[in-house]
This record gives sequence, C-alpha cells and structure tokens, in this order.
Amino acid sequence: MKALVPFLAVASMAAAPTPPPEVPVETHRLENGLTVLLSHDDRLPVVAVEVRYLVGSAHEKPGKSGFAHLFEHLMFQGSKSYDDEYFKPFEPIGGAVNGTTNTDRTNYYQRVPRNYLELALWMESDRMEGLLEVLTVEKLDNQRDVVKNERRQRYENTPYGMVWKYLSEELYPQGHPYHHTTIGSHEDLTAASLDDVKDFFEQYYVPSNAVVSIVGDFDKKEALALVDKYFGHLPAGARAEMPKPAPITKTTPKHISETDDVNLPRVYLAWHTPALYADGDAQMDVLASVLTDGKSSRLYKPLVYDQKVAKDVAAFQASHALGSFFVVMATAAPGKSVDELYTALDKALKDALAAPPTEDEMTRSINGWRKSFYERVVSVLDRAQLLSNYYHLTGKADYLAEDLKRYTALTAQDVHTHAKRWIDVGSAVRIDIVPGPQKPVEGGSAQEGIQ
Amino acid sequence: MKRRISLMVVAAVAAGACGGGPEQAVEHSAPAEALAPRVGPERTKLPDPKEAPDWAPPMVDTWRMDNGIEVWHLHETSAPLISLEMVFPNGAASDPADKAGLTALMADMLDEGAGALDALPLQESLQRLATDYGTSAATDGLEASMSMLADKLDESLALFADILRRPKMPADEFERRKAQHIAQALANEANPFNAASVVMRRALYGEGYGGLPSGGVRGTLERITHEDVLAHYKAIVQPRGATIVVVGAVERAPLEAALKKHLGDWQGEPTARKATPVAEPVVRGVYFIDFPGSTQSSVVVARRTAGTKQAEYFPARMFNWALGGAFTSRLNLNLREEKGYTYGARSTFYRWQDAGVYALMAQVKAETTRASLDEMFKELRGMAGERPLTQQELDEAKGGTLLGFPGRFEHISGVASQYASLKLDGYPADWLTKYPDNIEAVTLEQANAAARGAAAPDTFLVVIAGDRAKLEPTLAELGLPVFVYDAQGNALAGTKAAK
Repeated sequence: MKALVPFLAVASMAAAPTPPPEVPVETHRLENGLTVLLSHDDRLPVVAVEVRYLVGSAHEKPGKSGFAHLFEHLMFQGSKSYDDEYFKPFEPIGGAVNGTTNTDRTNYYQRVPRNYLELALWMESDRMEGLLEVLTVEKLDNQRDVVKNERRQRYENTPYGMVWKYLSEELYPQGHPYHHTTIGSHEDLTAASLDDVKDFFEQYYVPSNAVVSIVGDFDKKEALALVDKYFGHLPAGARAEMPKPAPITKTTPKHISETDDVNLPRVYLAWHTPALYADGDAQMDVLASVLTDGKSSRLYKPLVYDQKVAKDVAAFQASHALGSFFVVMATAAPGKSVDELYTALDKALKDALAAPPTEDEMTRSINGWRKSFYERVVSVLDRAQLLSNYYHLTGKADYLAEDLKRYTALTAQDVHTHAKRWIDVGSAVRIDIVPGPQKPVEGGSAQEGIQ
Repeated sequence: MKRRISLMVVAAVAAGACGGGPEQAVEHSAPAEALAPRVGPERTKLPDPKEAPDWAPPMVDTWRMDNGIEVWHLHETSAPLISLEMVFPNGAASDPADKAGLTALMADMLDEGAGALDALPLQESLQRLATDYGTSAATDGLEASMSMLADKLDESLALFADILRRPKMPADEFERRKAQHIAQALANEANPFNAASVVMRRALYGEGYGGLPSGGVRGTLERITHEDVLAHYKAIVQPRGATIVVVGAVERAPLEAALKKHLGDWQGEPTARKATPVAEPVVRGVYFIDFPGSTQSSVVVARRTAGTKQAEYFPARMFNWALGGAFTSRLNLNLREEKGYTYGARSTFYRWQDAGVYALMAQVKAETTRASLDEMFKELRGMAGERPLTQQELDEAKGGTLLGFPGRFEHISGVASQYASLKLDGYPADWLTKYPDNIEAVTLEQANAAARGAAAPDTFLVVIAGDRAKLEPTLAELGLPVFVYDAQGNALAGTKAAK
C-alpha cells in the first residue's frame, strides 16, 4: 500500500469530512503463545519492531519499587550470543532504539532500514532467550547507578519533578499497585539483587507474556517465518495476570504541601477516574480540553487571561490500565501566593463544572482529538506501539476505529455526566509545591558511593 | 527515486511452522506442554543485511511569488495533513542586547487578535478547524507555522494571513504577554540545566551575536515596551526575503492559488539588522551557578566554533558522532555505561549562521562532578590527538548518518521543519539532497583534522550548575579561575565577569 490514507482532494471547496485513518493489522500467535502483530506500509524503506512485555511497575513486589524499569536497563547490557551494548549493531545502521517502562508494561523498540529486519529479530530474541547467562553483578551495579541518576535528573533535579511521587502516594493506598512510582526509591533500587533479576526474567520475559509488533516495509510471510525462526523454540511460560486491586470509585480528599527548588508555587488537584479505554476515559480527555485548551477555555480565561492570578493552568487525564486519575495543575503568577491561587482555582473550577460543554466547545475539542488520530499513526514506531497497546488492553489490535469513535460519538451531556460523577472539587487530592529547600532524598545522599 | 526490491523468502525455518492466519480469539495462550522441544537457530554471528534499499530524500518544488516570497513545496500524501512553515530571515539575533527576547515576544503577540477577530475568537476559530498555529524565534530567523487537515487549507491560510499581516497587538494584550514571558523566564531560572545553557552562551559570546537566549531573561524582558514590539514587527514580518515551506497533501496548483489569494498582495521589505559576534577572546574559566543542596550537577564543557557554513561541517559531524554524538560514543560509554556517573552524556555542535558552540554536557551525580569533568577533558584530549578517530568509527558514523536518513522523513511536520531549518541555516533547497554525498566524501584525515581543531581541550571553558559550597573545593587544581553567575547569565558582584 502506497499511502496510509487515500489522498483527499484539497482546497477549501471539499465539504466532505476527511475520512478516518486506517491501519490494516494482522494478529498472529505462535504455538508458544507469542503474539505477533503485522502492519505493512512501504512509504519509506524502514521497519519498526517493538517487543512488549506485559509487565510494568504495577507488578512489583513490596520493597522492589523501580525494579521493572531497572530490569529494562539490564536488557540493553548484552545477552548470551551478543554480550555487548545492545545499541552497538544498531547505531551504525541509523537505527532508532530505546525501551520504556510504565505502570502496566515494558517495551523495547527499534526502527531500522528494511533490509535489517532480521538483525532486529535476532537481537530481540537473543535477549528474550539468554539475558541471564551473561548477566553479572557489575552490570547490575552500573545500571543501578545509571537509574539513580535518571531519578535525580528527571525527578529530584527538575522543578516540580517530585510531585509524581507525592501524587501516587496520596492517591493510591499502601499496597495498591500504583502506590509507588515506576522510577522507584533509592532504597529499593539499592536492594535489587541478581536473584530478583533471575526471578523476574523467568516469570515475565517469556513468549506468552510478550507481543512482537512489526510495522513498515517488510514481506509478511518472510517476517512471520523469521519471528518463528528466532522466537518459536522458546518455552512458552505464562501470561502474567494484571494485578486486581479493589476498584477505587471515590477520591478521598487530602492536602499536603511540599517545598521544592522552584520560583513559583504550584497547586495540583487530582481525582480518580475510569481506566484507559473504559467508559468515562474519553469523556475526561474532552473535559480536559474544555477546561484548559486555548485562551477561551474555562480555566485559562478566568485564571490566566482575566484575573492574572496564574502563570499557566493545565488539565489532563492520566490514563492507565487499572484506573486513571485526572489532574488540574496551576502555577502562580509572580507575586501571588499559593492560597490566592487555590482560592481562585477552586472557584473557577466550580464554575467550569456547573454547566455541560457548549456545542461549540464540543466541536473545538473533538476536532482536535480527531486530527490527533492521523498524527499518531504516521510514524512506524508510533504505530507499532499504538497497535500493541490496543492489543494489550482491549484484546483488539485493530481497535483504532473504535478508539476514534470514543471521541466522535460523545455528546456534551456525556462529558457533563462523567465530570459530575468523578470530579468533586472539594474532595480532590491537593498537593501544593512551594518555593523552599527540597526535602532531602532518602538514600540519595553522598554515602552510596560510586564504583 | 525509489526502486522495489523483491525480498527472498527465508528458507530453512525450523519445524513447528508459524502461527498461521489472523487469529481472533487472543485471550488464551497455547499450552506449553503440547510443544515438542525445538532447537533454536544458529547464532554464530549477527545476520547479514539484505540488499540495501535505494532511497533518496525528496526534492522540493520551488517558486517565487511576485512579492518576493519563496515557496518550497513537497507533495506528500501519506496522511490528509498539511504542515506549513513561514521563515522570516531575521530572528533573535536582531534583538538589542538589553532587550533580548524582543523577537519572541513580538511573535507571540501576532495572534493576540488579528483581522476582524480579537484574541479569544481568533483562537477559537483555529480550534474549530483543528489547526495548530505557533511561532518560534530562532537566532537567524523567525518561524510561524501551522499544521492542518488538508481540507482546511483555505480557511487556515485566511487566518494565517490575518495573523501575519493584520495583527492588532493592542496595549492590554502586550502587558499580558509580557508578564507571561517574564513569569516563564523566572520559572526557567529554577532549572539547573537551563541555567547552565544560559550561562554557557553568555560566557562564550557575551552580549553579542549568539550570547543571549532567544526568549530573553527577566532583566531584558522587563525593558521591552509596546512601541518596541510594534516597531520590531514592521522590521521583521515582511514578505520579501521570506520563505514558505509546505509539506503535505496538497498539489502545487491549488497551493499556488491559495497562497496567491491570501498572501499575494502583501508588500514590504524587512529592515532588521543582526548583531555581530563579539571580537574579544573567550575568558576560560569555571562559570558557576549555585544550586545549594542539588543532588546532581549540570556540567557543560564548551567552546566557540564557526557558523553553519564552515568548511569542516561534515568532517566535524563525523568525529563528533564518535566522541559524544551517539549512545555508543566514547563519552557516553565512559561516563554512563562504565562509570555510572550520569543518565546520559553527549556532545553537540550548535551552529547559527555567523557563529556556533561545541559543547559536551551531562547531568551527573553531585559527588562525581570533578571526576566527570576530568573524563570529559580526557575524551577531548583523546579525540584531538592521543586517540584519534579510527576508520571503523568513521565508517560507523557514516553508516549511522546515512542509513538512518529515511527515518527523518516520516512525519510531515518533521520534514517541513527540516526544510525550514535549511533556511535558518542559510543553506539552499537542495542541501538535503546533496547531504548523503557530502557525508560519504569525508575522509579519515579530514575528520581528524577537524577534531584536532574543534576538540583541542585548551579551547574549552566549563559551566557547572550545582551546589557551589560542596563542589568549589574540588575544582581548585583545575587551574581555571572561578566566576559565579546567576541563572539569568549575569556575573555576580565580587567575581570577575567575562567579556
């Protein structure tokens, strides 16, 4: 197929709406349970391979926070038949390579020239098969240091960066899979052992718990044969169950205040909301646009544009598999206190939620969401990750049309009903970040030492 | 351009066969015990690639409108989207030094009401079309860009023309946006890496060309008046000499007609003038920004370089790939993968038309600040002579640059901004087309000659954003004077300021 979406005659006169994006995808399953998603597109001579393991930080045991992500780093440290940096064969061919971990899954990906598809499958399968044979305590110690530096860089040393830890801990009770952050604590990272790595690998890094997505310019028959050649002999293992915490249907109000090395105070408000792809999730996305997208939006206009009490305001739905949360955050304008900011925010939010979105607000928001669907399937890497996400969380790799419909079918009343159901202004988890010396980081001090 | 290569079906697939046709029920896994044990494939060496695809970057169609606007167009139909970037040939380098951030603030004012619409209705109109609009003030140019659904080209261009040609820029909106920019600058000062970047430029280029951040700092933003913005708009936002890059699902004829309709009768010439690079030599030293209690330090080792048109552009790219331009570069393998000092270390050339910066940077654990600095200088000494670039490193740098090239052409917005960058850098439209040959032509001797010049350790100064009390004693034997700066790039009283 030459073009992903049929070319549409341009220039203004065209009254017919742009047709929705189409992404053809085939779902296959090897006998050992490995799921294979294939989506062909030969616009450019590149191919993306994503391997997704259905394990994330939500699966971590008590005292092991940050382990799924630390483990992800170890997957780049060599495997039995290629005991060297994972990046090494890929950088000289211009490959784009990385891995990411979130609460619900871990993924590894590479975009390579199409004539290197076999290399990508060789490398991915070698680490799925033989990570442990060549793993050493030196590698573990090194990546432990790297991850602690990642934590310092992205959380401790970034203004407001620690708020994600506070939010997880205040929103989710002790023992809930989302109570701790994906980056973990210094203390738990220090405690991670080679035995932990071995157990984790054997339980989760198995074909039945993995999805291989191939997107781009490739021959389907050949790709399937290669996947079978390199992965087909691996013992199946078992699909990991998603943890099943008691559902949280109501937000328990809380208020904490923390200092950070920032110049302007900021208030975060958060509420529990429906899980990714559940009824209510898209409604929260649209609500977020109505509240803070653009200068006319229901919170930006009063707080930033008219009263000038806030420097910025943003709302978003943070969607996850086991339940989501909705965040409204506002930064004080210079000279405004956190209390002045909160008082104005509280009132503006109550006003904003009092009436359903207008038809015009719905049009503006949903047009934006519709357009975003074209943008998120353009790159082969993005598409591979989108398809495997669909497969993982809905069971349908071809969920794109339904996903789009979650937005285009919404009415103003749908949004209003869910806003009232989930967003009780007075019962938010409220976190204030105010200027002051940052709380010392536990276990992050000088004493740890470097090799 | 593109040639189909028939792929051979791989022979010798181990018994067991592949998964068969599309499968609907995917919730269950195949039972493991049903499988006969299979032997894995031979893994004596990495697999060879198949025949390389023959691919060349697309060449834009170019033409000039009667009013002097140059158009660069690429018809690309992979999605029903159009990306448009207009580049005006003057940017932040035309800001007076004491009013840095003027171009950025002026650009930000353009959509605060335009044509018949006030600020809020204008933005609502863009949202109804799902058209994203934004501006970016670069050193050598100002970009105004739009991304839209292809069937919204005419309506989007009508608003684009209002914004650029008929902005209202009223006094109350000016006060509002100015306060916003000052607040953002204040917020940025709390970010150590941002502060290190600001001080790096100031230490290298003072208040001349390239010395101040394009967004300005609080001190310079506070001096900007409404009159400054109105005058700067007239000096910069003019059709003659500007370029419009359009990439996406529109053919030339309707595009040409639409551009003519909305921008064809626009007349005018820019009058803005660029600052010139400072003549004084760099004062080498350690430029410190104090962040008490910081668990990490932002470490930057930087020097001046020539601008975009220097002869060793391509050789320098090649040696830098191996020094700090890739994950598997010497710098990152040393500081991250061997020592564990950092989450990532890299080196980059930042080039503007008339000057540039070569910088090595990493955010490192506070206790390893001095050690990281020593390793950075060690890697510079190596590349500049003690351990020069090898043929294998050069081959890998070329391969990585050339074989990864098609991947840079996936997103139409990315393609549009690459072409717009050519304009900002002062390159012609066929620069990307010739890029592969220019990379291919670099010899090992040329790359090492470039390294001996650009990586010479005694040409670099040091910038550190971190805990001064903890770190300053460790820097004594470096033999470099220490200057203390604030996060806005000003030398603090009592320490010697660099020119």
